[in-house]
Amino acid sequence: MSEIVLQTEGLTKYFKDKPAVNHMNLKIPKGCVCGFLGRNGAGKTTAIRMLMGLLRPTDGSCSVLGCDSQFLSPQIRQRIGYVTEGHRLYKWMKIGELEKFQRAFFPDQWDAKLFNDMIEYFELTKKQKVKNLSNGQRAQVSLALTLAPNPELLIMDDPTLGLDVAIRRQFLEGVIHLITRQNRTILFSSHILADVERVADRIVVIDKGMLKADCTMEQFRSAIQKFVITFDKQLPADVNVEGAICCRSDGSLMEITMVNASEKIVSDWAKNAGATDCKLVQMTLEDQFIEFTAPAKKGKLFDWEYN
Amino acid sequence: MKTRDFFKYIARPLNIFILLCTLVFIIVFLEAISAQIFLSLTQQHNSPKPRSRQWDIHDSGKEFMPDGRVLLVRDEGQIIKIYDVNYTKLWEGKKTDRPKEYKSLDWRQSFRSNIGWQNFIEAQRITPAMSKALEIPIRQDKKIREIWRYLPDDDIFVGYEFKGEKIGYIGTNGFSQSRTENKPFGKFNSLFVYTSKDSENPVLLWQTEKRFFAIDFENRKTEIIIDGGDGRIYGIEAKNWSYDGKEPVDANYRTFVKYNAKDGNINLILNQPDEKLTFKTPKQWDDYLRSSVGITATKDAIFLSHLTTGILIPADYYKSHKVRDKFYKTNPFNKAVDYSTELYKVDKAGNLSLVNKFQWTKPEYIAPAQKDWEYYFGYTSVVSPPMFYVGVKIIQNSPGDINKILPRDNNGMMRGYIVLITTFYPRKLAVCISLSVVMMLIALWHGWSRKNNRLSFALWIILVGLFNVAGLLTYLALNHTTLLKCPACGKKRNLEQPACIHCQAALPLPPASMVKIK
Amino acid sequence: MKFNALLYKEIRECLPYVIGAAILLIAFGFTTVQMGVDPDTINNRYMAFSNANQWGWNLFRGYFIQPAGVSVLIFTIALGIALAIHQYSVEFFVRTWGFLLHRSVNRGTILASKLLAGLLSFVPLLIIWGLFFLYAHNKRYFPIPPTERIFMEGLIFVAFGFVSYLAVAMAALNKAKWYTTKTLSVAFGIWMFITLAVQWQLFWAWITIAVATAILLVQIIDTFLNREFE
Repeated sequence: MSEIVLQTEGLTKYFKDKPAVNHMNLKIPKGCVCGFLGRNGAGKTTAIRMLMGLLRPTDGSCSVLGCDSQFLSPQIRQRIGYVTEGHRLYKWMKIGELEKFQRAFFPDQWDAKLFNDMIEYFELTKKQKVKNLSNGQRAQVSLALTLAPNPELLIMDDPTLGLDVAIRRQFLEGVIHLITRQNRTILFSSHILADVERVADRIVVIDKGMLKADCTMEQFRSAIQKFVITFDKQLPADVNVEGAICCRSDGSLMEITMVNASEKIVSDWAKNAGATDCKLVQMTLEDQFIEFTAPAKKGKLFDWEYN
Repeated sequence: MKTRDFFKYIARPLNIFILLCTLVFIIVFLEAISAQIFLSLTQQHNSPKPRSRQWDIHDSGKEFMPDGRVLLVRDEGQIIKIYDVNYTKLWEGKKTDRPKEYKSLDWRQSFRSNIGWQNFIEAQRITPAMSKALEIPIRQDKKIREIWRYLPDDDIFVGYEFKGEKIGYIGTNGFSQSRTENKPFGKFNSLFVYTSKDSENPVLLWQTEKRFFAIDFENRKTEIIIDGGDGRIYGIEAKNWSYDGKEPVDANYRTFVKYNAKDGNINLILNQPDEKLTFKTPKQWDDYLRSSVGITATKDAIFLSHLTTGILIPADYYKSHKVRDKFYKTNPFNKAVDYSTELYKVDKAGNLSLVNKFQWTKPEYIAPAQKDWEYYFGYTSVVSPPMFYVGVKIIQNSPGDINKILPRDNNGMMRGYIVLITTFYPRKLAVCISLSVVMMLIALWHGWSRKNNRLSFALWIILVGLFNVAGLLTYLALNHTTLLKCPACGKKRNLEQPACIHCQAALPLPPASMVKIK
Repeated sequence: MKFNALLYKEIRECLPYVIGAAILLIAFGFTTVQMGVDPDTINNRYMAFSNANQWGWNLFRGYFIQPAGVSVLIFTIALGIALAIHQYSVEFFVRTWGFLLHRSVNRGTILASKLLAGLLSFVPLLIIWGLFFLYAHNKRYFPIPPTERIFMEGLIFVAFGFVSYLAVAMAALNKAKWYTTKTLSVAFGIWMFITLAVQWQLFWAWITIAVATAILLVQIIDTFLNREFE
């Protein structure tokens, strides 16, 4: 069994009387690229900040590289690369000054060639001030600063937020470059499922502070399935199939999204319900994510228009 | 113990202390404002009543002529009116035109602006505009020749030539080249300044606790005029030492310095001719309230005036604050009061012989029925900490008065805090304590579901009781945490604790029916 | 090396404020002092008394260098406030705390770099005050030189500037709401200023500064080490 680099046990965080993270039990093994997904306000950033020791859990514990997050030693921090949400850097510094600043904390492990190569690749110069860089350029500098020390563990909080397609691709290529180095672990949160699908081999889904998925990409992709069932008679009032998380009907067609269910169970139910056809349809990761994290009360955004 | 825990144990009590003190100050400030507002809203204004002859006599100044006659003088700004003892007008006119035949004995001290200990401290205050220097310029032919500056840390003067080199030092020994050769003057008490007719430069009359010096910078010498030995000297007055450019000193008067010594004797050091005189006033004079003595010396005689009321001072009046408070609550000066003023001559042996005496009665004063500041303050002060009441009792029962508790040269803050406590202590103690109990109950209700530690909670409740409203506000500011409804028992529980304090249940888990992929 | 990098970064951030305060202090202080040593002003100061009527409280006069001293007080307090806001509050606004706190050093080291940079920022103002003090010995302009006590008073003013820096820093770090205890440290700073204002002995003034500094430092260290940074 591979070594666990990130672990949480019953991790809980309340803000006032609302749980932002609720009893999260997570284990991230070494060497994987883990996409940390969730809707807005799901608790991703809160969880990451607790892992980095910036927030204190209300209950439970979390550890990084075997060290309690509340007491991360300087030696442990040296092994972690952390990209903050929005790539916040000191605006008055030049890229060269940022390099010197960052390098001081990694005297033995700083890869100057890697940093220079990345800056050159991103078409930046060391004399440029951060305040004169665009969001995308700042993200590139942030990535270069984080990758140059060759961190064992890379934690990125929504690293592609606000970046255009081209810059996102460049950013991900940088990440992939890191992946090719041995035994690096990456945890990154994102809203852009296409990016996650491109690089991640493990997926963690959090919804309303609660952990809903912690598995490999293949497991997630295969666990969530959508079936389109055709009825020629009246549609059944109840859909009592174990594993159904979402159901929509339109005329004689019924769409059912299932989790952890086999095709046989669905088809048997459909047959018993009087369906004439039951087909498995392809879902993108985005579709799967949306259905998996859909709220219990299903309504349209502009429901009032239809009433 | 980790570093962060170490600092937490020090920082927390400091936080409580600072917040408590800040809130006490704010509450005290609001109390004073409230009382003043109530007072100004309810102020009654009396319509002026016609004054009786008795009031006219009481309000007039009583002045003795050298022959002992008494004049009653009404000072109305620029105009003065002079009456005899039957209140028959003798003269009216401008002060400057006062006739010689009505020129009474002059009792005033010469020095218009003597500098006392308080002024001395004021000058040395560091903030916000830095301390000031006592500088004596020495002029010659209308040009500045030298400047002498007082060094408070060394208690001597240093002199410089104007825009030139250092001259030397002046201390008890007079002039010296080096600082170490000279002795400091001693604990400063007051300072008089005068200029003689022959010079344009001042001489300082420098009073310390035990000595009285005349420091002449022009001639660079120090003269000890009074040496009290081991005993303190006090009550110094100096007469006719100054040359007043506008009004020449009356040649009929002799220059003298008067001081009181530890043994209660009055000492006079007179000039023209030089002589020293020591005498005592009758002991029974001290038995009456507002008894005061003035001394002046003409070429013909030394005169002593004695002004007193007929109100006997109660026993222990000077020893007990309680006795004084009780006495003044009877409003002794609202009743009819007998006054008398006497003129004595003092002979060379120090014997007093009565020249004349004038007696009058101040009529009864009926104060309008209105509430005073104390009345309103009695109610607004119920929010003060009950501890202030205890503090006042301790201070009032301590031996001697506040000046003996705090030495004269304290830094002022302690004195300020004591004034705060003695002014703002709760007058209506029962109401104050009741309010404290209410505050404690509020804190108890607030903290019951939030308490982490019983001992800590108990100490907080005691603190709230001792400090009243300030204590409750401090408690709430530092202990308010979010409560959550426990799903197990339904009661409110503290979020900062892992287990519910009522049923020990943990924080609510996510719903079991939630779909997961693992 | 790590601490040096942090310290350099903090000093570099403080530099514009320090330079601004120094320039203003030199300009303002020098101008006001020179106005006080104008020959007519000196003449009025020492020659205005023609008889004993006018002696007395007039004998107490501010030192010639006093306007520079008042300028030192004003500018050190202003510098302290500006530095504290920049070093602590602005990091919240630009959200760089996460980047800073992830340095491979203890939190205490990060705080130490900020505090040391803050403290060192007052050194130029102290040097300027020292230069003013030496300038006041110039016989060409000044009738008599100032005393050592005045230099110490200026030192106290600079020290109070550091106290005001600590008070504002504590307010910036405090997580409480502004209407509860967030500005408590500023109220404490004002209280200490009032306490300092009634002191007339240097010893008690230094005690006031030392007590205020100690209390605020303990508060800042405790808050910074235990605080959550959202």
